[in-house]
Amino acid sequence: MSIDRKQKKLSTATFASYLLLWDGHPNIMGVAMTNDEITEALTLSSLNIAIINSLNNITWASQSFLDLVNDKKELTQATNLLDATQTLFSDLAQEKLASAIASAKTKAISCVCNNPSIKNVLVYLGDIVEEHRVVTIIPQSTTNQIRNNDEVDPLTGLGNRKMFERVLSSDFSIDKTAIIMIDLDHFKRINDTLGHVVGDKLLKLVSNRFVKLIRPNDNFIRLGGDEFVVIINDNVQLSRLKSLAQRFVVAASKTFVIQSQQINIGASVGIAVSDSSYKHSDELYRHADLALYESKQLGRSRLSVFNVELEQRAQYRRAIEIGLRRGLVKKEFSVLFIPQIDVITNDLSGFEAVLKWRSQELGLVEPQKFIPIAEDIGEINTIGQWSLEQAIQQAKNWPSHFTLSFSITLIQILEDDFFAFLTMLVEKHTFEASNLEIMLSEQTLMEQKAHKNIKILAASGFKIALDDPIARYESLRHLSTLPISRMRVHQDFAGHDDIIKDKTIKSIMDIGQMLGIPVVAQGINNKADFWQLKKHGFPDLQGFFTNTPLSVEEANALVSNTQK
Amino acid sequence: MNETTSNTRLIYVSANCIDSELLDKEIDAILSVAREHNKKNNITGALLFNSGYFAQVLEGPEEAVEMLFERIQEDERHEGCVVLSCEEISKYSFSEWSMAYEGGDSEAKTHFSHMIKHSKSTGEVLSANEVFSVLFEHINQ
Repeated sequence: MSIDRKQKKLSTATFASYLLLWDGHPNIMGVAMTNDEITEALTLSSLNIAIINSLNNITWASQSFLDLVNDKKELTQATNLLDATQTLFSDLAQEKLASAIASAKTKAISCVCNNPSIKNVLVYLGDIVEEHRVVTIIPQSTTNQIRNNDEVDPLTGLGNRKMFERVLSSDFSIDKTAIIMIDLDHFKRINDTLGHVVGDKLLKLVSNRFVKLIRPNDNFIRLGGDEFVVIINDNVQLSRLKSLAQRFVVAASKTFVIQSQQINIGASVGIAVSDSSYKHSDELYRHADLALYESKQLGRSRLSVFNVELEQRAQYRRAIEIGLRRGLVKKEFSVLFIPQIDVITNDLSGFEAVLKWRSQELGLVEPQKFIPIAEDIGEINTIGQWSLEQAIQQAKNWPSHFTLSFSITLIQILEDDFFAFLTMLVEKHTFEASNLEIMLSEQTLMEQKAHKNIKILAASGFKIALDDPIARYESLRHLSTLPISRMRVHQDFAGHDDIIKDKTIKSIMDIGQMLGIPVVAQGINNKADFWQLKKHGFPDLQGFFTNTPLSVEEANALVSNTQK
Repeated sequence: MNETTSNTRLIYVSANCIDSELLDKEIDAILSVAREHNKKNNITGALLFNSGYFAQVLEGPEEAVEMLFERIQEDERHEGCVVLSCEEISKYSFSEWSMAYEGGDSEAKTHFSHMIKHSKSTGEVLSANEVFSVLFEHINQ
């Protein structure tokens, strides 16, 4: 760059009282009062600013300006502005710029760049003062789609929700519009662990990466938090939308470095494309959101395209949610009782109370369908408490040795006042705590947080039962239907008590034998131990894995030793 | 915002995507752009290259390293960028260099190739310390 400092000073001096600074949008930031202030302000600023003379030759330029137009050619004092911008701007942009300069009026024109990382810019030509004028080049990311300053998200410079609403209401076209929703995975965790300053910085960096992937005409908006949306209005094919979405996923998955820390996140993306069935743009937005939700459900860091099944599932779920909230008032729930028979005496020994929901709109809904949703929306406690009271009200009239069994979910047992509620209930109905058997699923048992409350319940006399062991992984159910060739039993299966351990292993061996599936052991140190185990009660054991993993070299050495 | 800026050291490895016949030219281009950019932004560092992999140490003001790493990851001449280490530093280790280079037939390259091969065959992750010490030894001697 051969414009030297001397020339810089000289040129700026001419403009001391006229030069205004702009903050990226044409807002006046301030008027620099002295030459030194101007020079300093310009040196420090990242503005792409230059001064041209009546021949349109550059007489001074900021370093940022030089960097921007830099085509590795020498830029001299005599360089014509149009020559300087030739590499940067498209031919069309050059023509626009030429005619704007010729008009000699204050003008802002938008130009498309050849540089893919800038894409398009606004060129602002100032008033001609003493045969000179200021040229500012403002990178536009997506701002050409932003109509007003109140449509800008101040953090990222993208459009905001206001712009989103404007674009969706005015530019929506049933045969041309597509919406891509993007949500960062686990962004909240970054905010919680590293703080909001890092979180905000991350949002800026992610936005920059995303913006580089879209075209100038696409509307890129940050809806809020870590939620972004692209509205595309020119009938882009689904395959191209998918490849764009995939590029968002990849861009977000690359490492970020912020404040000397490595940060990794991901992005989940949902796509919806409009067609003649759409009546309103809101519907398209909702569908893109459903597709995004599907991406999250399927494990994040991926894209999904909306389809009708997602809509049906969402509608069914919503119907259940609404139904659950109204069901109690509409008296749609009832409690049924499953008899328990004591096989020794062949007598009735109690009942298990089960909840039944016959919805007016949905008909009979199975508990395994509505209970998880009730848990999700926070209705489980209301419904659970109601049904428990119904059951106890009946059971208190039964013989005193009868057991009332009742299933309680993890969420209920974790509830702080569950124990207080239960105690209140048995007192109110003068029902013996020992006659109530609380059935817990394996999932509840596996949750450490629940153990304290389980122990409190047991200590107060309530009985605790485990419902459907080994159901969570359903492995036993699938043993006979899937082509399983072998089972491996772990030595630590049932804790450290040898008798329990042996019995557990024995029962697994029995299942294996019954189904014809060989069983091997894990965690045995040597052959002697293995034969010991085999001799003492496990004759069907077929082999074992040792405890210690080997390195490649050790494993290879073992192989060659064995082959000798 | 008058905080004194902190300095960061970032070490990463990545896989080369440059065709072998274009290699020398591209490496020259990478180095010349890096040196010009780094000088301007107070960044120092070292680049290690063998035909398959790049390893780079970058040191500089936090913000400058953040932005540079964004640009580096966009570069299509490499892929599979893995950050080995990223930490705040009080002192530059490559202060003499806007971007030192070890490649060609240098001893460092041989050592580095060995490390890469070793790490590939055993599945071990190449450690940041190894990259750093190889570069540091060969460049700062």
